[in-house]
Amino acid sequence: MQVGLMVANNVIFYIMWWLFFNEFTTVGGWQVKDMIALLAIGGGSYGLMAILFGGTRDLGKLIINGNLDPFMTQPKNLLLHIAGSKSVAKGWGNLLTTLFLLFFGNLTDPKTLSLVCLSLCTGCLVFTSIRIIAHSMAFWLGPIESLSERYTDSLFLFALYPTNIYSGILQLVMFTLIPAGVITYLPVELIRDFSWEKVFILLASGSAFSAAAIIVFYRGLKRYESGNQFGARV
Amino acid sequence: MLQKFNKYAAIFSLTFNQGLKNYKLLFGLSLFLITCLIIFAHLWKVAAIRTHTDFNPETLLWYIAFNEWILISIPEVQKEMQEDFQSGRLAYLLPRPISYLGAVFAEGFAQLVLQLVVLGSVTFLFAFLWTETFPLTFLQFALMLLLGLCAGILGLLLQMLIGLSSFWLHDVTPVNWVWEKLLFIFGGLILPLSAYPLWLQKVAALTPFSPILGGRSGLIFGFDQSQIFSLFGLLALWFIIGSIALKLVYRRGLKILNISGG
Repeated sequence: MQVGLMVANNVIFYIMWWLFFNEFTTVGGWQVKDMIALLAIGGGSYGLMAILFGGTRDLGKLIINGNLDPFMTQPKNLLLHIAGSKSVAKGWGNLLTTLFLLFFGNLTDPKTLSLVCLSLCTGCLVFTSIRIIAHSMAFWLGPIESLSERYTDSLFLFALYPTNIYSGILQLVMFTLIPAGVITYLPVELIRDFSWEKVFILLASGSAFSAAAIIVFYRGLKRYESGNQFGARV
Repeated sequence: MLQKFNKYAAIFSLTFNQGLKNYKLLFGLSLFLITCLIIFAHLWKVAAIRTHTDFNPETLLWYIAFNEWILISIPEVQKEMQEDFQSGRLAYLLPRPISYLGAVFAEGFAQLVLQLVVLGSVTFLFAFLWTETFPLTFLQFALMLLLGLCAGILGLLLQMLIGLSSFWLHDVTPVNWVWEKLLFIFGGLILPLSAYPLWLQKVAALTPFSPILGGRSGLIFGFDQSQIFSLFGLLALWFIIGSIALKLVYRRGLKILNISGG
């Protein structure tokens, strides 16, 4: 049912953009096919994050409640363990919608598909990294998990807008603080006009955000105080 | 009756004070809201140009401010309700001598009021300083604030309805996302309602999303007293419908409830 609801959620949003493009054929030089690619990559990246790293959603709560202990006592990489501790079923809904959009938008040639796969991986890494950074703020700021989740959800929302409509400082924000541009705009531009430079920038951005997430989490971990409740992971 | 009210008032007071102590969250929400204001103002400027909609950029920002103020102030009670169901905490909450729904509403109302006050102050001060205009008279502004409070209460009620889907679903997030998308679309947040086909605009007018967001904030473009009354009426109507639905769903859910081990 979660998968179905997620597909319904995506369909509602995509219909809206389809209606918009019916009225206005281009946005900043982008056409419907580019928008379909953007929605496929944005939704698919988020879905992949939910499937592979669904545990990051509860990171803030774990920190506040002092429930990192069961994870810390196990001989596994802590951050990876927490991130991979859950897989959220609705992510499959996002991936299903991505597959549908790729076929609907005729984006199935091998070159485009391989670029889409690369973009899904980097997008997943960026989403996960931002979520880890946002939830790790709980180490310093306390119970702000609702704010962290809103921030991550807003990133997903802004990633589904064509970032080429922004200019000036807003465009800078869209590639740094709210890296929606890295998740969707850059990959779509890569598909429109391939260059190895763009591939390098995409990979470098994904790596940079991942590195930032690891640094922020482990810095915050030094401030962590264990809770006094017994916990177990079964 | 007064005794019952005192219990809910106590929950309200406790939650309000708790929220005040968590000032870092309020600060973070304020920053987040201002960021959203700036981004959506830019998005809408582009969309309005494409739709050839006449707009005043300053009024547009005030419109978005009135929208975002409510959207971000509505507390996410559905997550707490989900937690109550999943953890089995509901087993401790049900036997209390107060209604579970009443307690959730009292808590949510306290969060709503606090966030409306704090985020409203930040939002409207920012909009005033950014645009250097104040497009309403004092009375109109007071009416908009009251409309906002009513819209927030309706939003809270609908969030509680979503939270009750925990009786049937393990995770209410997908339901919340569908609700959110419908709110964004039919509430005129993602794109101006004028950008949609006429048939879709008519559909939006029939949903509760329009009086919660775009229909209410749209008064900023042309304050009409008759519209105020119809908006209050719509909000009241949807509140009644929502309350009945909440009660019915809750009763139905209790019948099938299995208490999870906590």
